[in-house]
Amino acid sequence: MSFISLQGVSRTFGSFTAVEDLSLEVEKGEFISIVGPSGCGKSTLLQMVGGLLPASKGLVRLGQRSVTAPLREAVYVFQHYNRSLFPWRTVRRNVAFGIEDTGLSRAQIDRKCSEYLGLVGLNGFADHYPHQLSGGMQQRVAVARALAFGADVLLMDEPFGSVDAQTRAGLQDLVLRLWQEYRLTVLFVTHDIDEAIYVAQKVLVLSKAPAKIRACLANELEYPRHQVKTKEVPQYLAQRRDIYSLVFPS
Amino acid sequence: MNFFRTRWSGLALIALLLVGWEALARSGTLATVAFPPFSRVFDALWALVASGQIAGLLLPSLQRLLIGYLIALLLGVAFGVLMGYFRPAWALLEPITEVLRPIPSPAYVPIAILFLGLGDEMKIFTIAFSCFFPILLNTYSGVRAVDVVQINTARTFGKSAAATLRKVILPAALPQIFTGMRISLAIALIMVVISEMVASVDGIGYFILNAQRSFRVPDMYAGVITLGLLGYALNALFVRVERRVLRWHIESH
Repeated sequence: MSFISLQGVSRTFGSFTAVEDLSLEVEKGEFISIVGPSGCGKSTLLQMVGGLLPASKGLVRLGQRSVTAPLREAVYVFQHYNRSLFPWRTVRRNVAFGIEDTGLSRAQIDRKCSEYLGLVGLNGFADHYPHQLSGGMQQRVAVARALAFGADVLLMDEPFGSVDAQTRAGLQDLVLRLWQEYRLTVLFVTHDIDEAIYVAQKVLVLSKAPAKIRACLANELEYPRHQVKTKEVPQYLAQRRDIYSLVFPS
Repeated sequence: MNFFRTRWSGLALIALLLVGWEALARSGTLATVAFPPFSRVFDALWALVASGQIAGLLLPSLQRLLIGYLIALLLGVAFGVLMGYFRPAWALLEPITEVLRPIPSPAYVPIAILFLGLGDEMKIFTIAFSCFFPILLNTYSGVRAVDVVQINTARTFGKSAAATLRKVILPAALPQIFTGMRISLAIALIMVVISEMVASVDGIGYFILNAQRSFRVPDMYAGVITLGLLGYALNALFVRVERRVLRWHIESH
């Protein structure tokens, strides 16, 4: 039995159908990216896995449980990190947000926050407020907060969509490193086809709304990946060509 | 030229107007009973301060003001959160607040006298009632305006409704709650004076009206100036608290 499973899942908003009869199996530890035309229901799909949005039809299951509300095992990383971080909390207290009210002592929480801030390279910024950091650093705080929470699954919704290209490359490599180190399962929604191939083991290509799976393409590209070398491998280029023709049929 | 860019020019204008007041009153062109020179008003004010009488004037007023204001704050935030957070509470209570809100606060005073008499209860009630609406309104619109991403963040981290309220919704709405508190503070001062002028045996409002009625005109002006200073001090205190509590908000905007 796979770790995450969607069976015949649909989601409608009034008369608009965002996702229709979609089935998907995700194994534990997989890194899957999800691409598709904009407005095709990628985020809707991810929100249903995260329990933030109930499915109108069908079944979403994570581990042994059916997902009807957010589960402890999965945490959602929002595209709008500047809206997802709390401006009234310092960086440290933002990272602490998920592990407060869990019975940990203040000292344990502080130690964990420092540990994860170090992991994302933000030592020394613990007492800053989010608005004092750049966009890329803010998203790293959000990643640290998600990791500190200790979830097995990261649901990343266009997480690097609003940072510059250079920062984005750094964040991609950071997430890959953390994925391997913590043996996470990652569902990664993006509109950037290169990013989708670069990070993932499998790229799920969705159709225009109502979203259905057009293709699920596995790649054998080696990890650790390299921002230049990986993108020169023939297999990378071939997959890039295939996905472009699926997303933008001529 | 720098002088005209600093606050010194503003202070100099006040000084100039006071000198003008003094000169005009001494020239005798205006009725002297209603318009004593500033120096006599200042003497009256100084006498109030030196004798310590001023504390006796201000304490009852401040006490009414603070109690009424705090009641309004507690109830305004509580009902505001309720109306902002639970749609049925909003649907139920919003029409009645829209009906009650436009009634000018002094109109409540006669009704309050009928039910609560002439004592402190009536005054505290009118202050609390008048201050309630701006805080309520700002709280519920602040709560309703909380970013859905922030609420979803609380959900994905498994927060209960109570924790979400405490850790996300209240802090997010706090800047707007403070806007309501600031409006209400000004209203509280107005209402304490009005209620004391209508029916009281002490307090600054009573003092001003009583001074006027017994032709102690310099005392009357001294009372008015005292109120101005009190309003200034309360606002300055408020701004200090606001800057401290909302530092994150002020710095990030």
